[in-house]
Amino acid sequence: MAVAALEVDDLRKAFRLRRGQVAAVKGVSFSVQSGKIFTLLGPSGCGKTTTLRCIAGLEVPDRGRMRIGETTVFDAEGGIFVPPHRRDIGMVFQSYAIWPHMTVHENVAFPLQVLPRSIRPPKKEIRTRVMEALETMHMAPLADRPATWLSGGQQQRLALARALMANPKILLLDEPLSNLDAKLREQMRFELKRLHVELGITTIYVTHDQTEALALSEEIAVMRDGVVVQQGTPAEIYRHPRTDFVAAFVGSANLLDGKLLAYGTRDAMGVVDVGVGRDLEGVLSGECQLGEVVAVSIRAEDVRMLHPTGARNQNTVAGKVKARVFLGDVVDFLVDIGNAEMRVRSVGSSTTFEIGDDVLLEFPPLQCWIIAARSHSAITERGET
Amino acid sequence: MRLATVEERIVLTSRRLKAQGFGAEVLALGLIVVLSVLVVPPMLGVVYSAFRKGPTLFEGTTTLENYRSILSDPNTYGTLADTFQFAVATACLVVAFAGILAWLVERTNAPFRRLVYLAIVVAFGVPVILQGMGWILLLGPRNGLLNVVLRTVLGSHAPTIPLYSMPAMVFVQSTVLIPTMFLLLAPALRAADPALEEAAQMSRAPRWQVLRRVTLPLLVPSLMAAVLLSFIIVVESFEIPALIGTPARIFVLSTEIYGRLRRPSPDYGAASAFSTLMMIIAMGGLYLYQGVTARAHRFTTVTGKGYRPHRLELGPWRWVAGVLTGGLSLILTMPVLILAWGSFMRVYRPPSIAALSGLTLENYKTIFASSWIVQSARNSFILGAASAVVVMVMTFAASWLVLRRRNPLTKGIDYLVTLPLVVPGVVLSLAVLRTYLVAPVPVYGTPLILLIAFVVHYLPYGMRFSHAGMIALHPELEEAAAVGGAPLAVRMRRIVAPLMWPALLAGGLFVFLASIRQLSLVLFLAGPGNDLITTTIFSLWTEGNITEVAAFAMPVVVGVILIAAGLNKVTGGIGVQVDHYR
Repeated sequence: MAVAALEVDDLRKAFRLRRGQVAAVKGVSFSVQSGKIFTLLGPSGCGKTTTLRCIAGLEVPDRGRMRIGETTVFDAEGGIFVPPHRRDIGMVFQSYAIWPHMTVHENVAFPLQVLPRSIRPPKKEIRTRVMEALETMHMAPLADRPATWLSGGQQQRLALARALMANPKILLLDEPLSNLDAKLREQMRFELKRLHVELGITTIYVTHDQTEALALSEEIAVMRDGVVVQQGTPAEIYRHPRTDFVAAFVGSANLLDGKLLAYGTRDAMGVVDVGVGRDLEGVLSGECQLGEVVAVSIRAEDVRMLHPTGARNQNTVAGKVKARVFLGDVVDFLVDIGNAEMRVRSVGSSTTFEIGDDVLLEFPPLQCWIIAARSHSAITERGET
Repeated sequence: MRLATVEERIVLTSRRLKAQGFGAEVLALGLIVVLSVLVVPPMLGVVYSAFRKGPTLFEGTTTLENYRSILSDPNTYGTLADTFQFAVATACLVVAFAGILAWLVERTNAPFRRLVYLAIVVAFGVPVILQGMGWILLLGPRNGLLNVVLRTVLGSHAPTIPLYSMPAMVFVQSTVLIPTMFLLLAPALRAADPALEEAAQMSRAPRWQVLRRVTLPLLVPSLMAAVLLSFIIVVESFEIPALIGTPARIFVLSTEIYGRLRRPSPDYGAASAFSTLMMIIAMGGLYLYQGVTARAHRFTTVTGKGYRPHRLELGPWRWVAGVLTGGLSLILTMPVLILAWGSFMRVYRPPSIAALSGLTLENYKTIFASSWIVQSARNSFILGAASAVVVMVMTFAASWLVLRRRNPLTKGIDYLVTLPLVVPGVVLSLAVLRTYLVAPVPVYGTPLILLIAFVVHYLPYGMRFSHAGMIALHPELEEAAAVGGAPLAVRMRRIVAPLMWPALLAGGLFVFLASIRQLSLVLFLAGPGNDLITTTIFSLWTEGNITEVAAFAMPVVVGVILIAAGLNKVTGGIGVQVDHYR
């Protein structure tokens, strides 16, 4: 296998505050294959931006090693620290950091103008390359405008053009879409994906928005409290969360606390008492011992809503519709099942239920995911973001 | 009780709103009358006076004689040249020093950063007249401490630092202004978005390129604004030119005006003509200043999350920086330290072991026993408090009208409140004197005339605080109360005033402090019966009572510093009080 484009090993970083230290990153390791989009996803304060800034060289880590391609850019033990301007990295900041004292053209030309004289292209070539870059961003007519006259979306594209100007090996994106409105955000998401397909540049993406992460990435590392709690493809993270935190943070999962009663009819299946009168069968995620406290995670769109007259299968629970939200393509319901409220997202015929209707919820066993309940603060964590 | 239907309520509300609008009109009308009476007569008076020859404003003839006489006098051009030389040199020097100091303190790991802040706050609390006197005790040719030290170290043939010269005047005025300019520039350096510099680093710019192509150009508007503001302040300054320039026969516009009026037969006409020149220079400076600050505001961009900018590690340069930060802290505090020494001397002698035997508390006893001196301190505090209250009440109403009711009347209010900015203190002092000598109200020689001068002078400054506070207040907060049925007076009392309280308090404290330090504004207005702290100090000094001045200075300085610290606490940062020009 080829050398990874980026290798991060046991990265640690603490900030000294007035009262003591705060560990922001507590031993993060991952590697990114060349040409992939890799996302660091997590709530605010989880250490994702600090990790990104360490990769950029804007923060000096306390411990660990980092390699970009075959070059070691940081090694705490070896005393190696390559400063940011020699790391061959492009970066888009959350605030875009467009220089207000320069025009659009000057902003984009800057990375070429500051190259060492020996490798700096002649002025004429800089001009043509800048115009080409602005052309691909549909910004050529704005070239001589003061950069502060641009709209949010235009500033974002300008920042991107600037970051890509000197053909960096790695592109770092720090919540690049968070300052845009919803419509523009969706548009830029496609734009980023298209650009990545065209350029094939290795990209590290930081966000707290799970939709963005799922839509854009080829690999996601979910972070919490300075550590990576789960790493995998978007589908793995979404379908098979390893902890209740990941389940709650990525997508809107229903979590039911319970106790593992017995192993199921098939391999890797288990039966859980969730205290609603009926036991649920689901897929066991890891090593859960019999009698242990567990959580059953099921996505809102996987729950099926039936008429109460229907046949009661094994994984069905009776409930009452408490709220109904019409979203256009889908309808969301909140269903009271006695000791918990379930979110149900439905399309088609079951959208006709009204508030107060008695319903029967069916949880398909293969969509029920039994995880060890390590932390019960998952929901409140989500509320903070 | 029957509840009103929705339609009835809408009608009621609209009627109510109409009625409230009318109340606002009455308020606007009243305010514009009061402002016109306060602001307009002195302004017209000083201009009119420049074209009059005669004992009072209304006796004599209208003439161009005043301009002819000052423009045909070759000394006038010398005065103008000296004024410009003094102001330009000082403005450049002070911004260079304050800029470097602010950069070292805010963005590098230079030593003594806390000490610098302490020195700045102390120096900011010492009235300029006292700082000037401190420098005379430090640099005086015969008894000045530094010259004495020089002679002790190098022998009796050592060169003397020439205090009474243009370079020394520039130096002393610069040290006086450093705190103000530091407090203006430090927040700009602190608030600079670090991402802009980081983006340059990520674009592969080496450190010096980042400094040259991003950090410095971004600071240019702030530095230009500081230079222009310094220029205006120095042109209007009186204390240092009077203390150091006049003995050296160097005259600037403010001392020229003072000199014309302190003759046995005061030449009001020529002084007024000089005043109009000074106003034109101030207007030009303010016009440029506004252009530059507009540009500076364009440079402020939306910042992302607040990552603290990294302090630049100076490495071996750290000790060079330490010499600068430590040295400047010493320079800023030396004048008040030497005054403290002098306050314990029966007859002033520069600090030495031998002089220690002459220490005494006699001066403090004399000061507190003098009813004239104690009375002047009381006058200063009462007048300062009264000015603060009047200015803030008026600008509170003005800012509300200007922002919430846009019409020609409130536009007029805005102009009237801002107009006094173009009138330097000395000029306003002359203008108020000239006007109220002929006005049919007997205020001359009473504290009331000082109150009028203070209120007119500090209106624009108070407006700055009120305006900033009012802009931060969303109109919907009031509208919610209006729709809830509260009439105008209730809305003001229950909603607007409580929310504006911090801004009004900060503004009031600023006016209070500034009027206690003020000298040039009251030069021609205070006298026996309505003396103030600064005028008392000035007379004591002119009489040669150096040690008593020093003893009087100490409680004043301590009081002012304590109040300044209070202001700092209220406003959450001393920065807001210096950025007062709009």
